[in-house]
Amino acid sequence: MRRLLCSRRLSLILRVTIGIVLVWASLGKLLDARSFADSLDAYQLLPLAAVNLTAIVLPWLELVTGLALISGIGARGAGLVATPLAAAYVVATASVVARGLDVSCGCFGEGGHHLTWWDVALRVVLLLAAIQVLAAERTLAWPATLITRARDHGSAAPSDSPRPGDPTTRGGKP
Amino acid sequence: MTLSTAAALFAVATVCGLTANAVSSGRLPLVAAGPPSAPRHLSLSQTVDAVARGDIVVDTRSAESYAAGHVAGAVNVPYAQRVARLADLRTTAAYRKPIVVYCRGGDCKSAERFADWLLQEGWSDVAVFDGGYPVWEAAGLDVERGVTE
Repeated sequence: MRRLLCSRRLSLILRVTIGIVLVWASLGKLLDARSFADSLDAYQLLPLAAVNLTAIVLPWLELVTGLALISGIGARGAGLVATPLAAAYVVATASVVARGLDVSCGCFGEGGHHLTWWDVALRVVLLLAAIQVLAAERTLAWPATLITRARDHGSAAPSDSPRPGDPTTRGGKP
Repeated sequence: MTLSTAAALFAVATVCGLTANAVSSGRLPLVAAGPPSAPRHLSLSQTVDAVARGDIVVDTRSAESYAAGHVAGAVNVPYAQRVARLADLRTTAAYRKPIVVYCRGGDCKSAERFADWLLQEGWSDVAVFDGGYPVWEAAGLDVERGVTE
Protein backbone atom coordinates (compact mmCIF):
# COMPACT_ATOMS: atom_id res chain seq x y z
CA MET A 1 0.00 0.00 0.00
CA ARG A 2 2.78 2.38 0.99
CA ARG A 3 4.68 1.44 -2.16
CA LEU A 4 1.60 2.18 -4.27
CA LEU A 5 1.04 5.46 -2.47
CA CYS A 6 4.59 6.58 -3.16
CA SER A 7 5.03 5.16 -6.65
CA ARG A 8 6.56 7.88 -8.84
CA ARG A 9 5.47 6.17 -12.04
CA LEU A 10 1.84 5.94 -10.89
CA SER A 11 2.08 9.50 -9.67
CA LEU A 12 3.21 10.70 -13.09
CA ILE A 13 0.24 9.02 -14.80
CA LEU A 14 -2.25 10.29 -12.23
CA ARG A 15 -0.76 13.77 -12.16
CA VAL A 16 -1.04 14.23 -15.91
CA THR A 17 -4.54 12.71 -15.91
CA ILE A 18 -5.79 15.00 -13.13
CA GLY A 19 -4.15 17.93 -14.91
CA ILE A 20 -5.97 17.16 -18.15
CA VAL A 21 -9.30 16.76 -16.31
CA LEU A 22 -8.83 20.10 -14.51
CA VAL A 23 -7.83 21.98 -17.67
CA TRP A 24 -10.73 20.44 -19.56
CA ALA A 25 -13.13 21.30 -16.72
CA SER A 26 -11.93 24.90 -16.62
CA LEU A 27 -12.36 25.73 -20.30
CA GLY A 28 -16.17 25.64 -20.52
CA LYS A 29 -16.48 27.62 -17.30
CA LEU A 30 -14.00 30.25 -18.49
CA LEU A 31 -16.01 30.77 -21.66
CA ASP A 32 -19.29 31.31 -19.79
CA ALA A 33 -18.77 32.46 -16.21
CA ARG A 34 -22.40 33.54 -15.86
CA SER A 35 -23.75 30.05 -16.57
CA PHE A 36 -21.19 28.60 -14.16
CA ALA A 37 -22.36 31.07 -11.49
CA ASP A 38 -25.93 29.87 -12.06
CA SER A 39 -24.78 26.26 -11.74
CA LEU A 40 -22.93 27.05 -8.51
CA ASP A 41 -25.99 28.80 -7.15
CA ALA A 42 -28.15 25.79 -7.98
CA TYR A 43 -25.97 23.67 -5.68
CA GLN A 44 -27.29 25.85 -2.81
CA LEU A 45 -24.09 25.45 -0.83
CA LEU A 46 -22.48 28.88 -1.04
CA PRO A 47 -23.95 32.13 0.26
CA LEU A 48 -25.18 34.30 -2.59
CA ALA A 49 -22.45 36.86 -1.86
CA ALA A 50 -19.73 34.26 -2.56
CA VAL A 51 -21.17 32.71 -5.71
CA ASN A 52 -19.88 35.19 -8.31
CA LEU A 53 -16.37 35.49 -6.86
CA THR A 54 -16.10 31.69 -6.77
CA ALA A 55 -17.36 31.48 -10.36
CA ILE A 56 -14.70 34.00 -11.41
CA VAL A 57 -11.70 32.48 -9.61
CA LEU A 58 -12.38 28.72 -9.51
CA PRO A 59 -12.03 28.05 -13.28
CA TRP A 60 -8.68 29.85 -13.30
CA LEU A 61 -7.56 27.91 -10.26
CA GLU A 62 -8.45 24.69 -12.09
CA LEU A 63 -6.58 25.89 -15.18
CA VAL A 64 -3.33 26.92 -13.48
CA THR A 65 -3.39 23.87 -11.21
CA GLY A 66 -4.02 21.59 -14.17
CA LEU A 67 -1.20 23.14 -16.18
CA ALA A 68 1.16 22.84 -13.21
CA LEU A 69 0.27 19.18 -12.79
CA ILE A 70 0.75 18.41 -16.48
CA SER A 71 4.05 20.30 -16.72
CA GLY A 72 5.36 19.08 -13.39
CA ILE A 73 6.40 22.59 -12.45
CA GLY A 74 5.38 23.13 -8.85
CA ALA A 75 3.71 19.74 -8.95
CA ARG A 76 3.57 19.20 -5.22
CA GLY A 77 2.07 22.62 -4.60
CA ALA A 78 -0.44 21.89 -7.34
CA GLY A 79 -1.19 18.58 -5.65
CA LEU A 80 -1.78 20.50 -2.44
CA VAL A 81 -4.37 22.60 -4.29
CA ALA A 82 -5.89 19.73 -6.25
CA THR A 83 -6.54 17.58 -3.17
CA PRO A 84 -8.88 19.96 -1.28
CA LEU A 85 -10.37 20.94 -4.65
CA ALA A 86 -11.26 17.30 -5.33
CA ALA A 87 -12.54 16.93 -1.75
CA ALA A 88 -14.78 19.95 -2.27
CA TYR A 89 -16.13 18.36 -5.46
CA VAL A 90 -16.94 15.17 -3.53
CA VAL A 91 -18.73 17.06 -0.75
CA ALA A 92 -20.65 19.31 -3.15
CA THR A 93 -21.76 16.47 -5.41
CA ALA A 94 -22.70 14.15 -2.54
CA SER A 95 -24.65 16.97 -0.88
CA VAL A 96 -26.64 17.64 -4.05
CA VAL A 97 -27.42 13.96 -4.63
CA ALA A 98 -28.31 13.36 -0.95
CA ARG A 99 -30.69 16.34 -0.96
CA GLY A 100 -32.25 15.14 -4.21
CA LEU A 101 -31.71 18.48 -5.95
CA ASP A 102 -32.53 18.59 -9.62
CA VAL A 103 -29.19 20.09 -10.59
CA SER A 104 -27.20 19.79 -13.77
CA CYS A 105 -23.55 19.04 -13.18
CA GLY A 106 -22.04 22.19 -14.71
CA CYS A 107 -18.68 20.52 -14.16
CA PHE A 108 -17.40 21.14 -17.68
CA GLY A 109 -19.31 24.34 -18.38
CA GLU A 110 -22.95 24.96 -19.13
CA GLY A 111 -25.52 22.21 -18.83
CA GLY A 112 -24.38 18.66 -18.34
CA HIS A 113 -26.18 15.66 -16.94
CA HIS A 114 -28.03 15.41 -13.67
CA LEU A 115 -25.88 14.33 -10.76
CA THR A 116 -26.06 10.79 -9.38
CA TRP A 117 -24.08 8.71 -6.88
CA TRP A 118 -22.01 7.56 -9.84
CA ASP A 119 -20.73 11.14 -10.16
CA VAL A 120 -19.85 11.12 -6.47
CA ALA A 121 -17.87 7.89 -6.98
CA LEU A 122 -15.95 9.45 -9.89
CA ARG A 123 -14.99 12.42 -7.72
CA VAL A 124 -13.88 10.10 -4.94
CA VAL A 125 -11.54 8.45 -7.49
CA LEU A 126 -10.26 11.91 -8.44
CA LEU A 127 -9.67 12.68 -4.75
CA LEU A 128 -7.76 9.42 -4.20
CA ALA A 129 -5.64 10.17 -7.24
CA ALA A 130 -4.87 13.65 -5.94
CA ILE A 131 -3.89 12.22 -2.56
CA GLN A 132 -1.53 9.78 -4.27
CA VAL A 133 0.06 12.60 -6.27
CA LEU A 134 0.49 14.70 -3.15
CA ALA A 135 2.08 11.77 -1.30
CA ALA A 136 4.42 10.78 -4.11
CA GLU A 137 5.53 14.22 -5.25
CA ARG A 138 8.34 14.85 -2.82
CA THR A 139 10.47 16.59 -5.33
CA LEU A 140 9.95 18.16 -8.71
CA ALA A 141 9.19 15.41 -11.13
CA TRP A 142 8.90 15.15 -14.88
CA PRO A 143 9.96 17.11 -16.85
CA ALA A 144 12.35 18.45 -14.24
CA THR A 145 13.62 14.93 -13.66
CA LEU A 146 14.31 14.46 -17.35
CA ILE A 147 16.11 17.78 -17.51
CA THR A 148 18.23 16.85 -14.50
CA ARG A 149 19.05 13.46 -15.98
CA ALA A 150 19.94 14.95 -19.35
CA ARG A 151 22.18 17.51 -17.63
CA ASP A 152 23.91 14.80 -15.58
CA HIS A 153 24.31 12.64 -18.66
CA GLY A 154 25.60 15.58 -20.67
CA SER A 155 28.23 16.55 -18.11
CA ALA A 156 29.44 12.94 -17.76
CA ALA A 157 29.66 12.19 -21.48
CA PRO A 158 32.73 14.26 -22.58
CA SER A 159 35.01 12.71 -20.03
CA ASP A 160 35.67 9.03 -20.54
CA SER A 161 38.42 9.04 -18.01
CA PRO A 162 37.44 7.44 -14.75
CA ARG A 163 37.06 9.67 -11.72
CA PRO A 164 39.35 8.97 -8.80
CA GLY A 165 37.63 6.79 -6.26
CA ASP A 166 34.92 5.78 -8.69
CA PRO A 167 33.93 2.24 -7.67
CA THR A 168 32.86 1.41 -11.22
CA THR A 169 36.43 1.70 -12.55
CA ARG A 170 38.54 -1.39 -12.65
CA GLY A 171 42.22 -0.68 -12.69
CA GLY A 172 42.02 2.39 -14.90
CA LYS A 173 45.20 4.19 -15.83
CA PRO A 174 46.08 6.98 -13.46
CA MET B 1 8.07 25.51 -0.63
CA THR B 2 4.96 23.44 -1.26
CA LEU B 3 2.74 25.87 0.60
CA SER B 4 4.23 28.85 -1.15
CA THR B 5 3.67 27.17 -4.53
CA ALA B 6 0.04 26.50 -3.63
CA ALA B 7 -0.36 30.10 -2.48
CA ALA B 8 1.22 31.30 -5.73
CA LEU B 9 -1.26 29.21 -7.74
CA PHE B 10 -4.12 30.79 -5.78
CA ALA B 11 -2.69 34.25 -6.36
CA VAL B 12 -2.22 33.69 -10.10
CA ALA B 13 -5.74 32.26 -10.43
CA THR B 14 -7.24 35.18 -8.50
CA VAL B 15 -5.40 37.84 -10.51
CA CYS B 16 -6.20 36.13 -13.84
CA GLY B 17 -9.85 35.62 -12.88
CA LEU B 18 -10.41 39.19 -11.73
CA THR B 19 -8.58 40.62 -14.75
CA ALA B 20 -10.44 38.42 -17.24
CA ASN B 21 -13.75 39.29 -15.59
CA ALA B 22 -12.95 43.01 -15.68
CA VAL B 23 -12.31 43.01 -19.43
CA SER B 24 -15.07 40.52 -20.29
CA SER B 25 -18.22 41.71 -22.07
CA GLY B 26 -20.29 39.40 -19.85
CA ARG B 27 -18.75 40.78 -16.66
CA LEU B 28 -20.10 39.42 -13.39
CA PRO B 29 -20.43 41.70 -10.36
CA LEU B 30 -17.97 40.45 -7.74
CA VAL B 31 -20.72 40.17 -5.18
CA ALA B 32 -24.16 39.15 -6.41
CA ALA B 33 -26.94 41.46 -5.34
CA GLY B 34 -28.66 40.27 -2.20
CA PRO B 35 -32.36 39.53 -2.14
CA PRO B 36 -34.61 42.58 -2.18
CA SER B 37 -36.73 43.27 0.88
CA ALA B 38 -39.98 43.02 -1.05
CA PRO B 39 -41.15 41.05 -4.10
CA ARG B 40 -41.81 42.71 -7.45
CA HIS B 41 -45.39 43.06 -8.65
CA LEU B 42 -46.27 41.98 -12.18
CA SER B 43 -49.10 43.00 -14.44
CA LEU B 44 -50.79 40.48 -16.73
CA SER B 45 -48.54 41.29 -19.70
CA GLN B 46 -45.40 41.09 -17.54
CA THR B 47 -46.56 37.72 -16.23
CA VAL B 48 -47.16 36.47 -19.78
CA ASP B 49 -43.57 37.48 -20.62
CA ALA B 50 -42.26 35.77 -17.47
CA VAL B 51 -44.06 32.53 -18.30
CA ALA B 52 -42.72 32.71 -21.87
CA ARG B 53 -39.18 33.13 -20.47
CA GLY B 54 -39.61 29.95 -18.45
CA ASP B 55 -39.80 31.49 -14.98
CA ILE B 56 -41.08 29.14 -12.29
CA VAL B 57 -44.77 29.83 -11.61
CA VAL B 58 -46.21 28.89 -8.22
CA ASP B 59 -49.92 28.68 -7.51
CA THR B 60 -50.51 29.16 -3.79
CA ARG B 61 -54.22 28.31 -3.80
CA SER B 62 -55.66 25.08 -2.42
CA ALA B 63 -55.20 21.80 -4.26
CA GLU B 64 -58.91 21.84 -5.19
CA SER B 65 -58.74 25.32 -6.74
CA TYR B 66 -55.54 24.36 -8.54
CA ALA B 67 -57.14 21.19 -9.95
CA ALA B 68 -60.13 23.21 -11.18
CA GLY B 69 -57.81 25.34 -13.33
CA HIS B 70 -54.39 26.96 -13.14
CA VAL B 71 -51.84 28.81 -15.23
CA ALA B 72 -50.30 26.31 -17.65
CA GLY B 73 -47.07 24.97 -16.19
CA ALA B 74 -47.66 26.30 -12.66
CA VAL B 75 -46.74 24.15 -9.67
CA ASN B 76 -49.11 24.02 -6.72
CA VAL B 77 -47.74 24.87 -3.28
CA PRO B 78 -50.63 25.90 -1.02
CA TYR B 79 -49.56 28.62 1.37
CA ALA B 80 -50.17 26.47 4.44
CA GLN B 81 -47.95 23.72 3.05
CA ARG B 82 -45.03 25.94 2.14
CA VAL B 83 -42.68 24.79 4.90
CA ALA B 84 -43.38 21.11 4.26
CA ARG B 85 -42.80 21.69 0.54
CA LEU B 86 -39.59 23.67 0.97
CA ALA B 87 -37.39 20.75 -0.11
CA ASP B 88 -39.52 20.26 -3.24
CA LEU B 89 -39.27 23.95 -4.01
CA ARG B 90 -35.50 23.91 -3.66
CA THR B 91 -35.43 20.96 -6.04
CA THR B 92 -37.62 22.77 -8.55
CA ALA B 93 -36.04 26.20 -8.43
CA ALA B 94 -32.48 27.33 -7.82
CA TYR B 95 -32.18 30.39 -5.61
CA ARG B 96 -31.45 32.72 -8.52
CA LYS B 97 -34.21 31.29 -10.71
CA PRO B 98 -37.02 33.83 -11.13
CA ILE B 99 -40.27 32.79 -9.43
CA VAL B 100 -43.72 34.21 -10.07
CA VAL B 101 -46.34 33.57 -7.40
CA TYR B 102 -50.07 34.02 -7.73
CA CYS B 103 -53.29 33.18 -5.91
CA ARG B 104 -56.88 34.12 -6.71
CA GLY B 105 -56.25 37.87 -6.85
CA GLY B 106 -58.54 40.41 -5.24
CA ASP B 107 -58.19 40.35 -1.47
CA CYS B 108 -56.05 37.20 -1.57
CA LYS B 109 -52.82 37.83 0.32
CA SER B 110 -51.31 34.34 0.24
CA ALA B 111 -49.22 35.04 -2.88
CA GLU B 112 -47.73 38.18 -1.34
CA ARG B 113 -46.95 36.39 1.92
CA PHE B 114 -45.59 33.40 0.07
CA ALA B 115 -43.31 35.70 -1.94
CA ASP B 116 -42.05 37.37 1.26
CA TRP B 117 -41.32 33.95 2.70
CA LEU B 118 -39.42 32.89 -0.44
CA LEU B 119 -37.19 35.97 -0.09
CA GLN B 120 -36.51 35.11 3.55
CA GLU B 121 -35.64 31.55 2.55
CA GLY B 122 -32.97 32.73 0.12
CA TRP B 123 -34.57 33.17 -3.27
CA SER B 124 -33.54 36.44 -4.85
CA ASP B 125 -35.89 37.03 -7.78
CA VAL B 126 -39.48 36.74 -6.63
CA ALA B 127 -42.54 38.41 -8.12
CA VAL B 128 -46.27 38.43 -7.44
CA PHE B 129 -48.81 38.32 -10.25
CA ASP B 130 -51.29 40.80 -8.81
CA GLY B 131 -54.33 39.80 -10.84
CA GLY B 132 -54.06 36.15 -9.94
CA TYR B 133 -55.76 33.27 -11.68
CA PRO B 134 -59.13 35.00 -12.43
CA VAL B 135 -57.39 37.69 -14.53
CA TRP B 136 -55.29 35.09 -16.33
CA GLU B 137 -58.31 32.95 -17.15
CA ALA B 138 -60.43 35.93 -18.21
CA ALA B 139 -57.70 36.94 -20.67
CA GLY B 140 -58.08 33.57 -22.43
CA LEU B 141 -54.50 32.55 -21.78
CA ASP B 142 -53.27 28.94 -21.51
CA VAL B 143 -54.72 27.09 -18.55
CA GLU B 144 -54.49 23.51 -17.40
CA ARG B 145 -56.91 21.50 -15.30
CA GLY B 146 -56.32 18.62 -12.96
CA VAL B 147 -53.23 17.86 -10.96
CA THR B 148 -49.92 17.83 -12.75
CA GLU B 149 -46.97 16.33 -10.93
